Amino acid sequence: MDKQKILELLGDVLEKDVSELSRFPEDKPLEELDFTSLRFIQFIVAFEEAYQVTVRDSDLLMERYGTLSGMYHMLRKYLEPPEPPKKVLVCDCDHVLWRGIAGETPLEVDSLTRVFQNSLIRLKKKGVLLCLCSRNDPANIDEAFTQLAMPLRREDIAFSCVGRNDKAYGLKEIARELNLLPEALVFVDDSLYEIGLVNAMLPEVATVRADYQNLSFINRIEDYFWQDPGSGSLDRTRLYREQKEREKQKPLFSTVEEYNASLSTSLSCAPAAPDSAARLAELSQRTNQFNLSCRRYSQEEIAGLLADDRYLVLSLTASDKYGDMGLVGAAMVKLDGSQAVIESFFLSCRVFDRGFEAALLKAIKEHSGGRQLYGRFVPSGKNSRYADFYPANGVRLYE
Amino acid sequence: MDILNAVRALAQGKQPAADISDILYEHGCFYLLSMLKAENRYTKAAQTQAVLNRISVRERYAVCRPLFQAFDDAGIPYAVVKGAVLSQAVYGDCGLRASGDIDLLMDRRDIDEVEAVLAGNGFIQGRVTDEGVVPFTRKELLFQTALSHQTAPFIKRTTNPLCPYVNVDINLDILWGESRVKGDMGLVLSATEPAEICGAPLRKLSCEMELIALCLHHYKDANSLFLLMQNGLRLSLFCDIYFYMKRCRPDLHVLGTLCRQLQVTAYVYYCLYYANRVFDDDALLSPYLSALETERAIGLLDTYGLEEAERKKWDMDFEERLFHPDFAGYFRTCLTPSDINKIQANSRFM
Repeated sequence: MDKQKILELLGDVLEKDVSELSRFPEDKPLEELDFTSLRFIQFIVAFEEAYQVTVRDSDLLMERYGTLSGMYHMLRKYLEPPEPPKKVLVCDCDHVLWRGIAGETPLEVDSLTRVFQNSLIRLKKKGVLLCLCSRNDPANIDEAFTQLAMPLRREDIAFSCVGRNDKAYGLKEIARELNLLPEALVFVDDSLYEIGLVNAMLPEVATVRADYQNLSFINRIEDYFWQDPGSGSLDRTRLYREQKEREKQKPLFSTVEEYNASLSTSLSCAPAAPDSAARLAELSQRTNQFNLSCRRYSQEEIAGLLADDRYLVLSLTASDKYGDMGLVGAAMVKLDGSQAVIESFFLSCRVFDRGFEAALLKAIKEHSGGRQLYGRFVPSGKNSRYADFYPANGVRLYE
Repeated sequence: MDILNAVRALAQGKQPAADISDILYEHGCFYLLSMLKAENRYTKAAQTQAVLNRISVRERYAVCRPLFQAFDDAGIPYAVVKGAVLSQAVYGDCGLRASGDIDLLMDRRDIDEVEAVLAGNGFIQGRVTDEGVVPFTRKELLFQTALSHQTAPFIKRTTNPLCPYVNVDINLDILWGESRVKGDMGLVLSATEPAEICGAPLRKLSCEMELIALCLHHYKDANSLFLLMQNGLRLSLFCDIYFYMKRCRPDLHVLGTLCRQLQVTAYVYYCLYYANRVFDDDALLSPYLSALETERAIGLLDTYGLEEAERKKWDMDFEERLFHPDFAGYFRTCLTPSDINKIQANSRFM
C-alpha cells in the first residue's frame, strides 16, 4: 500500500505538509492534528475519488481511523487484493472469555468480556468455527461453562484442545482435526508469551492479543473473517459435527463407493443457478487445498460468468443421511471453439476423499460437448496434493 | 396542576373535570384522547389520524415483510423498534402513535449485507421529490452514515395513495450519536422475540430491552438542545413510558442487570422518575425507582443537555415547562452562544 499517497490525501484535508504527517507517530491520535468528523468525511471522499473505490458503510466508523496505523489497516483492503478470509477462531479461556482463572480464582463475565462473547456468537452465526485452546484442566473449563451465566455456550464450540500441552501443539491439533491448514486459524490469547510462542512456531497462524484496555482487538479479529455482503452464512459448527459422525463410519468400508452408498450420498452436478453466485464466490475465496488454479472470484465476477455464454459454471451439491452439505464444489469452464478450458476447479475440504471431484469432472466432460478438455493448474504451495489431478484423469494441462 | 390532575384521572379511567383535549392533541397523546367520552374537533381529528396511521402501517409492513424474511434467512440479527411495534406494545393498537417510517435496529457490522437486502427489494437511499425518489449523492450518504447512529433513509414507492412511500430507517445504536458510551449491539440484539404487525411476522426487542430503548430515545428527545428547540417537551414521551410500564410490567431484576451492562441506568431512572411525576403512580413505579436510583441518576434530574459539557439546570418547574405556551421562546433564553451554534449546525446537518 502506498502510504505516501494516503498521507498526501490526508495532508490536503488537514492542510498540513506531508513531511509533517510522515513524522507523526502512527499510533498517536489524529485528533491532535484536528482530524474532526467533518475532515474524516472529506478524507473518505478524497480517498474514494483518488482510488475509484467505495468504502463500505460498515467501515465508516471514525474511531477506526483515529490513528495513522488504524487508517492504513482500514484502507488496505481497498488497495490490495484481500487475503482469503480465515475460517477458525481459537480462543484461550482464562482472562479472555472471562475474568479470572477457572479452578483457581472467582470467575466473572463482565460487560467487556460479554461484548467479546457476543462478537464470538456473531462470528459463529456467520459461519466461523469457534475452538478453545487452553492449558487449564478440561474439567475446570467445563465447569466454568456450566456455572457462568454468559452468552457463549459449550455447544457453540466446535472443538477444544484443553490440557497441559503448549498452545502451538494445540493449534496444530485443531487444524488437523478440522482438516484445515494452520493458516485458516486466528488465535486469541491474553498472554504475550503464548502469542510469541505461536508466532515463532506457527507463523502462518494469525494471532491477536486480547487486551481489554483497548477493545479494538475485537475489530481486528472480525476483520480476519470478512465476508462479501449477501454471501449468507452456513452453520459450519453443525456441518463439522455431522462430518465427525460420517468419519466414524469410514473405517468400516474398504472403498469410497461403499462408504458413500452406506451414507445414502446424493450428488448433483449442474449448471449453477444465478442465486448461487454469492456462495460460489465465498467457496472460491475459502478453498486453498483443492483449489487447482487458486483463482478467487467476487460475487460480481461470478454473476458475470453466469451471464456469459462462453462460460460453463458447474456447481456440485451434496447431501447424505447426516444432512445437507450444500454447495461444496464448482468449476468454471471457458468454451473456446474446439477447446474447453477448466479455469477453476475447487472443492470444500469438508468433502475430501469421497470421490466427489470425479463426479464434477465427469459432469464437465458431459457438458463440454466433446471439446478437447484442458485444465489450468497454478501451484500455490497449498494445493500440491492435487497437482496430478488433471493428468491422472485424462485432462491436458493448460499452459 | 389542573392539567396533570386531568391527565392522571384519565389514566385511571375517569373522565377529567377540565377539558384538556387541545393539550392532548398538541402533545400527540392519541391514546389518552381516545379515552375521552366527550367528542370535539380534537378527539375527532385524533380518530381520523389513528385510522390513517393504521392504513399506513398496514401498507408499510406489507412492503417490508420480505425484508424481515430475508434478514431471518440470512441470520442477520435485527429488531423493529419505535412506531407501530411500540404503539402495539404500549397501547394495544398499532395506530395510536404517530409515525412516518419503519425503524430497524441493526448492528453496524451487518450494514453492508442489510443494504444489499434493501436494494434487492427495491429500496433507494434518497429523498422524495416531485419526480419521485432521488438518490442521495455519495457525499450526503457519507455524512449521514458516518456522523450519526442512523443511515440515510431507504425509500420505496408504493401504489397506495394514502401511503405513497415507505421509509425505512436503520438505527445502528440505541444511544445517540454524540454519546461516548456505545450500546453493545450484540447484547441488545440478543434480546429479541417474535411479534406480528398487520400479519407481518418480525422480531422486536424483548420487554426489558424494549423499555430501555424507549427510555433512551425519549431521554434524547427531552434533553437534546436541537430537539427541545424543535419540538419542545411533549407529554406523549411520558405517556409512552408510563403505559409501557403499566401494560408490560418489565422484570425488575432483568431490567437492572441490562441497564448496568449497557451503562444506561441513570437515563432509564430519569424517564421513569418523570413518568411518575406526571402520573403519580408510586404503586407501579416506586420499586423500579428505588432499584435504579444512583447518585448519577439523581444528578440528571432537572437538567437538560445530552452531554456533560452542555448540561445545565432548568430554571423552571417541570410542569410549567411541560405545558409552557411558548416553550421555544422560553428555551431560547436558556441557550448560550455555543448552544445556538450547535443547534444551527444540527439544523444544517438534518
